[in-house]
Amino acid sequence: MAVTRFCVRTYRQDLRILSSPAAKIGLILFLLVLLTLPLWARKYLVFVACISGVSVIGALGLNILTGMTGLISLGHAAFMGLGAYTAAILSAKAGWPMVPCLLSGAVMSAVMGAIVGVPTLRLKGLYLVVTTLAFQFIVQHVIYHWESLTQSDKGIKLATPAFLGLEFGSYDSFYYVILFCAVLVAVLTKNLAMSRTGRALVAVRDRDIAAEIIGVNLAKYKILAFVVSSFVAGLSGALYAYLLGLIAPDHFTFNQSILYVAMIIVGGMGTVLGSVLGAVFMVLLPEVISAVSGPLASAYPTLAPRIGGISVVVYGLVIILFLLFEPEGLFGIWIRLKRYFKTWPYTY
Amino acid sequence: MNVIARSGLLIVALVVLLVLSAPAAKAEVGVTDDKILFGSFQDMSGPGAYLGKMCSLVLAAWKRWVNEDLGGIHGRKVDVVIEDNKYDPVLTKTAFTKLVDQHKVFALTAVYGSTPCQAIIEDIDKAKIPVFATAATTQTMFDPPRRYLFHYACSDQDNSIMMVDYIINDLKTKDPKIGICYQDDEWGKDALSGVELAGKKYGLAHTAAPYKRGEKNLNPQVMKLKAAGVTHCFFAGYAPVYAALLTEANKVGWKPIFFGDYVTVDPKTFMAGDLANGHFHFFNLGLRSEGVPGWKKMEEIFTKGGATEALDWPLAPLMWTPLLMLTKAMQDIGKDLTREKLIDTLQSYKDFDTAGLGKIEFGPNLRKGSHVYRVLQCDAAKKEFKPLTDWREPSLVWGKR
Amino acid sequence: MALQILLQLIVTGLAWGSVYALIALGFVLIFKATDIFNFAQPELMMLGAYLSFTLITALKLPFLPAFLVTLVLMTVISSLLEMMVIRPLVGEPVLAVIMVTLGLANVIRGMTGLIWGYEELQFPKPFSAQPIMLFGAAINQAEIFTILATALLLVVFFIFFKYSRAGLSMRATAEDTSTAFLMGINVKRVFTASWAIASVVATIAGVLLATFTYLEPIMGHAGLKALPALILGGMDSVVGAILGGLIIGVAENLAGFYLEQYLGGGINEITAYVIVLIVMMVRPYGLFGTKEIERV
Repeated sequence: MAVTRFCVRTYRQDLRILSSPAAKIGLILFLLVLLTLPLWARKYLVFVACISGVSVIGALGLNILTGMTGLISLGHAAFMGLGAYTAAILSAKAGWPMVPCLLSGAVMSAVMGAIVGVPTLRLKGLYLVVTTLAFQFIVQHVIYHWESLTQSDKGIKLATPAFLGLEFGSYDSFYYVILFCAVLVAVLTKNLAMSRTGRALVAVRDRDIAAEIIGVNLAKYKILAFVVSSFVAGLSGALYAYLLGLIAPDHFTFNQSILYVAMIIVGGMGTVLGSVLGAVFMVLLPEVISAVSGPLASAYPTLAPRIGGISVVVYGLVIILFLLFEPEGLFGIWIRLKRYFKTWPYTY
Repeated sequence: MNVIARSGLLIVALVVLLVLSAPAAKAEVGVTDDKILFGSFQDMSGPGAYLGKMCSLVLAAWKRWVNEDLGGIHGRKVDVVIEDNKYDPVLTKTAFTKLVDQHKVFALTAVYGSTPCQAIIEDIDKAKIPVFATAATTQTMFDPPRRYLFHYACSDQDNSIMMVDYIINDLKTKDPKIGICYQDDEWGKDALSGVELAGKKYGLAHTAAPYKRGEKNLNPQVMKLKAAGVTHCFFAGYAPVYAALLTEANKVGWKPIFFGDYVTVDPKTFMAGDLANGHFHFFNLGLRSEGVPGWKKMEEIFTKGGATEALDWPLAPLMWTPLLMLTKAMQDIGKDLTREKLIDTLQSYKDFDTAGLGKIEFGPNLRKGSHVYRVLQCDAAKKEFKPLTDWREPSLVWGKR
Repeated sequence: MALQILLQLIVTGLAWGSVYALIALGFVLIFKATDIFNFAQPELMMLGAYLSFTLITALKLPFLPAFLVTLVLMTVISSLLEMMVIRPLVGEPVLAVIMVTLGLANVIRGMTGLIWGYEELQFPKPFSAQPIMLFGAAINQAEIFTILATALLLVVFFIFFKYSRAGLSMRATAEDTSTAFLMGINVKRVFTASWAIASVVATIAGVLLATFTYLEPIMGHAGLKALPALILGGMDSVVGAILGGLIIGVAENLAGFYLEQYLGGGINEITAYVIVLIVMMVRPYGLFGTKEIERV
C-alpha cells in the first residue's frame, strides 16, 4: 500500500481539488499566514503582497487563455486597462460603490474579449499574437486620446473603496479584498480546469482539429476562453485601479503584457499553482535585484548608474534560463521538490 | 540544474526575508542622532536613464560635500537611498511606498518625470512627506499648490507665452504665423495652453503638431506646420527630437524661427549641427559659460564628488539649486529637525542666494519655484547658448491668466 | 501644393517604410528557415548600429570597412546566440520560443545600456546632409540609400530562395524539418545560417536608420512597426515583408498628416496596427503569406 500510493490513483482521487491530507494542511497553514499578514507585516510588505495578489489574478486570467487553451495573447494588459478604466470612470464620475465598479470593469473587459475573440477565430500562432498586439496598441491609444472620458495623462482618481459601510482605504484593509478575489479566482480556475469545459479547452490547445472531431465546438470554446480570461483580467485591472487609487494610461502598456506572459511561463503553463508562483516571483524579482544592488550602489557610487542595466539583463536572463533549463517553470520545481520529500529517504 | 535552481530559490527567499524584516528606525521619521535619510527615485534603465544617471551623480556629489566639506548638518550626516523606477508609474508607486514605509526616509529629493510623479501625487499628501523638489514639467505639480510638493523646473506655459511676447515686442514681427510642435503629453499640452492663452491676448491663431513620445519621424508634423506657413515655431520635447525636427525642417525647405523649451538647452541640440544656430531657447538657470560663482562652486564640488560628467549638462542646477536650498534650510532649523519645520523654512526664503544659478522662490501658497526666465540664443559654432535678455516674466503673469 | 505635400509624405514614408521592411525581412528570414519568431531582431539591429558606431568612433575606421567588420561580428554573435539559446528549444511550443527571444531582447538591450550608456549618441554621418530634390519632394541621401538597400536585398533574397541551393534547403527545413533532415540537409547549419543572414539584414537596417536618426538603447522600438509590416505581408514572404513595410511606412506618414486632427496626435503610431487588424479580418495569412493547410 505504501508503495502503490504513489503509483495508482483512483478516478475519485484524480477529481479531488486537493490530492492529499498533507496538501490540505499545507494549504490551510498558507492561508492562515496570508490572512494574518497585515497584522505582523510592515506596510511595504503588505503593499507588495497587494501587487502580487493583483498580478496573481491577472496571471490566472492569462493562463486560462494561453496556458489552458493555447491562444497566445500579447494584449493582456489592454484587457486589464479596460477593466481598470471602466471601474475608475464609474467610481470617479458616476460615484458607484466598489463592488459594482469591480464587476462592471470585469464585465466590460469580458465583452471586449468576446468582440476580440470572434474575429481571431481564424487566426493561428503568430498571426494571433500580432493581432492581440494590435489590440493592445489601439486600446492604449484610445485610452490616451479619449481625454474627455479618461483624462489622459492626468489620470483618474478613484473614490475610497467601501463595502457594506466598511472602508478599504489603506493597503492593510484593501489587502483583504484582493486576497478574497485572488482565492476566489484561483479556486474557480482550478474548478474550471477540472470540469468538462476545462478539458475541452485543453483539447483545443493540444490539437484543435482533433478536438473538433470528437465534438468540441471550437468557436464556442475559443470565445469562451477569451471571455473568461478577459473577465478575470478586467477584475484584476479594476482591483489594480483601486489599489493604486489613481490610474493613468501608462499603467497598461505592452511591457505589462509581456510581464504577464513571463509570469505564466516562469510559473508553469496551464496550472493554477504555476500562475500563483510565477506572478509572485516576477513581482519579487525586482525587489531581490534592488536588495542586492542597493547596498552595492551605496558602496560603489560609480556603479550606481549601471545598476539599472544590470537589472534589465538579469530579468531577461531569468526568462531565458527558465525556458532552457526548467520549461515546466516553478511549478515543475515544486512538483519535483514535493516528490523528493514524499519519497524520502528513497529518493531514487 | 536541480541543485542550482533549488539553492537559487533558497537564496531568493532568504534575501526577500532579510530585506523585508530589517528593523525600523525609531523617533522622528528619517532623522536619527547621526543621520538624516533622504530618498529619491530615479530612472536607471528606462527611457529617462540618462537623467537618472546625472541625478544620481549630483546626489552623490551633494552627499560627499555635506558630509565631508561641511562636516554634516548639526552633527548629522546625510544619506540618500535611490530606488529605480524605470520611469514607470506603478514602479514609482512601489518605490515611493518602499522609501516611505521601508526605508522611512525624511524627505524625497531630486525627482522628475510627469508620469511617475503624477502617479504618487495623492500619496505624497497622505504620507505628509516633503518632496523637494520635483522637476516634472506638469502644471498639476504646483497647481493647485500642495503643501508637501515643491516644483522647480520651467513651466512650458510660461515659456510659450514668452515666445509670443518676444515675437511681438522684441522681434517686432508683423503678423507672425505661430506654430507649436510638442510631445503629446501633459508637458507638451502645457506648452500648447500657453500658446492658446497668448494667442487670445494678441489675437493670433496657431497651428499645433503633436508627436508621440519616442517618435523619430517628424515628417508629418513638419509638413503640417510648413503647409500652414508657420514662421515661428515653439518646441516642447527632448533635445534629440528637437535636432531631428530641425533636420527634417531643413530637408523639406521650411525655415521658420524656432523656440525651444528649457529641455532643449542641452548639448544634444547640436546634433543638428549648424541648423540649430541662431534659434531661441527659454531658460531659468545660470549658464556655465557665464562663469558665475554658483557654477564655479558646482565645478569644485562636482569634481571632488566624481560628478564631472554632470557639469556638461546645462540642466544640472535644476537639481543642484534645490539641494543648496535644502542644505541651508536644515542648517537654519537647527538640531530639532522636523518635516513641518522644513517646509515652513523652505517656503519662507525670499531671494535665496544661488550665486547666479537662477532664481528659486516658494511661498506659503506657492509651489512653483521658477518665475523668471531668460531668452537664450544658440551658437552652433561654439556649441554654446548665449543669454540675449535679462530675467523676465511672461506678460500674462502666473496666477492671473 | 497639395500634390507636392502628398508626394513628400509618400517619399519620406517610403524611406521609413524601408527600415520597417528591412527589420521585417530579418524576421521572415529566420521564420522561413526555422519556423521560429525572433523578437530580438530589433535588438540585433540596434546592436549592429552600436557596434559599427564604436568601430568608427573608437577605432577610427572609415565608414565602409567599419560596416563590413560589423557584419562579420554580427554574424558571429548571432550564430552563437542561435547555438546557445535557440537550438535547445527547437520543438518546444511557439510561446516558449517567443519568450526566449523576448528575454534575449532584454539582455541585449540591458547590455547596450551598460556598455554604451543611455545617452542618445550621434552616428557619424557617412552621407552628405544636403537633401536631394526628387520630383519636387526632398529626400536625404541616407534615406535614398535605405530605399536602395531595401530594393537590392529584395532582389537578392528573392533569387536566393527561388534558385540557390542554400535557399531551397532553408525553405525545405522550414516546411518539414525532419523530412529535410532525412533528405540530407544539414539542418543545424541551416538554422545557424538563417540567424547569421538575418543579423546581416538587421545590421544594414540599424546602420541606415542610425545615419538619419541617432543611436539610443531603445531604438529597437522601430521593430514594433515591423511586426505589423510582417503580418501584413505574410510571415513567410520576402516580397510580402518588404511591401508590408513600405505600405506601413507610407500609410502612417499619410495618417500622421491627414488624420491627426480627427483622431489625435500619435495616430501614425497605431495606423500600422489598425491596418493589420483589417487585413487579418479579410486574409488571415497576410497579403502574400502561404495559407497553411492542415492535414489530419
